[in-house]
Amino acid sequence: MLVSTLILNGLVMGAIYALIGVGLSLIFGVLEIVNFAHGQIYTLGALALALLVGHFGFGFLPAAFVSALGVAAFGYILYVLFLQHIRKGEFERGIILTLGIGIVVQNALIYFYGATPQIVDTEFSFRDINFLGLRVEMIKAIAVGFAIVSITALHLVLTRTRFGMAIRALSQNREAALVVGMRPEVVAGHAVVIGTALAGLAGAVLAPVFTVHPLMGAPILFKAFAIVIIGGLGHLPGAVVASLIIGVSESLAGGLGSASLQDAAVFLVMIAMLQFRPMGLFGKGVRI
Amino acid sequence: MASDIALEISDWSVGYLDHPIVRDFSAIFAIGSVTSLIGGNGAGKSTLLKSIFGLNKHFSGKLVFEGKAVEGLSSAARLRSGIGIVPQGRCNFPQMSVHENLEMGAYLLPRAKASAAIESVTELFPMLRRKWRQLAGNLSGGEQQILETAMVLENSPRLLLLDEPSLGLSPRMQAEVFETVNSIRGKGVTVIMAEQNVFGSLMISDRAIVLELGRKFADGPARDVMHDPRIKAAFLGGEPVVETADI
Repeated sequence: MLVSTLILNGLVMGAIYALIGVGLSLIFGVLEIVNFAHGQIYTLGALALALLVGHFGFGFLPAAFVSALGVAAFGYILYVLFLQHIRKGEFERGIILTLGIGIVVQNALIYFYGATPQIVDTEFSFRDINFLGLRVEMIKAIAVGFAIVSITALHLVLTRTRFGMAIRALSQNREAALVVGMRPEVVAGHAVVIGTALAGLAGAVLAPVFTVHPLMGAPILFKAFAIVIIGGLGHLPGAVVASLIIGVSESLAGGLGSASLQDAAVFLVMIAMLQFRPMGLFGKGVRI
Repeated sequence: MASDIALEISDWSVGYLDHPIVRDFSAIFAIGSVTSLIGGNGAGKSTLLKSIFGLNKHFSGKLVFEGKAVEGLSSAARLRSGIGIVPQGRCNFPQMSVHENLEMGAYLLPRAKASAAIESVTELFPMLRRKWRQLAGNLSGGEQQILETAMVLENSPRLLLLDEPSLGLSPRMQAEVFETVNSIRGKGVTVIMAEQNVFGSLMISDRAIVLELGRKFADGPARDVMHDPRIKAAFLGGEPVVETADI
C-alpha cells in the first residue's frame, strides 16, 4: 500500500515536472539554447498565481490560466529582447545570458515580493479524492489534469497543425526551413512562448502544493535539466517519460528512505544515464 | 512588350561572414533557359546559387528577377516572388514523414492551394505517394533528392536553382534527374544548375558558365563550352591542353 501510494505520488509529481521539462526541451530543440532562466520563469508562474488568488480573489483555475498567459508574454519579451539575437554556435553566450536573466528576475522578485515563503490557499486546498483506493490531494489531481491536457494539446499542435509542424521542422533542419519559406525567428518565438507558458503553468499549478517564494525555481531548474538529459536533448516524448521516472524515483527515495535523499535519487538516475546512455532514453539525433 | 529576361545579376559579390567568395559576377538569364554552372571545388557555384535565394551574405551588386530588385528580400519573400532552390546535401526534415515534409514544402501556400500543390507533385513523382508515411530520413539518397525537389516545386517557382541534384545517385537515377529538369524547363521554368556530372548537365543545358576562384571564367552556349579543349581537359576527362601562349 505504501509503495503504491508513493508510486502514485511520484507519477503525479512527474506529470507536473513534465510541463517544465517539455518546455525546456522545446526551447532547446528550436533555439539550441539551454535556458538557465527556466526555473525563474516557473517561479514567476507560481508567484503570479499566489498574487491573483491571494490579493485579487481569483479562483484557482482562472488564476492558473492567467498566470500561464502572463508568463508566456514575459517569455516572448525575453525572446525578442535577448534570445533571438543569439546566433548559431554561440552556445556559451546563451548559457551566460539566460543565467544572468535568471538572476536578475530572481532578485527583482525578492525585491518586490519578499523572500518569505508563503502558503497559497485555494478552493481546492486541504481536500482529498479517492483514486483506486488511494488517497490523493485534490489540488495535485487537478495539477495532473492540467499537465495531461496541456501535453496532449501540445502533441496535437505539434503533429496536426502547420504552426506546430513548423516548430518541429525548424528544430530538425534550419536550412530546409528557410528553403520552404519559414522565418526562423518567428517560428522560434512561437516555441519560446509555448515553452515558457508550460513552465509558468507548472509553477502556477504547483503553487498550492508547495510554499511559494522567489528562490523556489533553482532546485526545479536542475530537475528540469535532469529530465532533458534523461529524455534526450530536444526530445519531447523522452522528456515526458523522464519526468515520470524522476517523479517516481524521488517519491520512492523520500518515502522508503529519507526526504534528504529525494534530490540525490533524481541526480543518481541522471548520472547513470550520462554514464551508460549519454544520448538519453531515445538515442542520438531524435528530435521533437 | 514583355521582357524575355528572367534574372539579371550585376557586379554581384557574395560570401560568408566578412569573406566574399563570388566576386563581381554579372550575367543575364533568359526565361525558360537551362544554365549549367561549372567549376572545381571552391569555385563558388553553391555560394552563387544560395546567394540568389538569400541564404548567405550579400556584399554588393544587384539582383533583378522579372524586372524587380530582390537582393534586399528575405528568402521567404524570394520564394513568394517565384524563386526556389534545392540546395546541395540533405535539405528535408528527417524525423518527419514524407507527407509532413510535403506539408512543410507548402508552408507559404493557403490551405486549399497547398492540397492541390501536394497532389500535383505526387502525380509528378508517384514514389512519394508510396512512401507517404515513411520518415524522410529513412528514404534512399535518390528518394530524398526527389522529395526535396518536390517540396520546392510545390511553390511553382519560375526560377529554379539546383545545387548538385545528381550527387551520390546511381547512373539510372541521375538520368531521371536530368529528365525531370528537362520536363521542368518544358513548363517555362528557368533553371540554373551546379552539377558534378558536367557532361550530363551540359547535355540538357542551353548555356554554361564556368567559375574559377569565385569569378566568371567562361560563358557561352553549352555545346561550345562542352567542346572547349580547356573545359574538356579540366572537367570532362579530355586530353590536357597545352597553351601555346605559355610555351
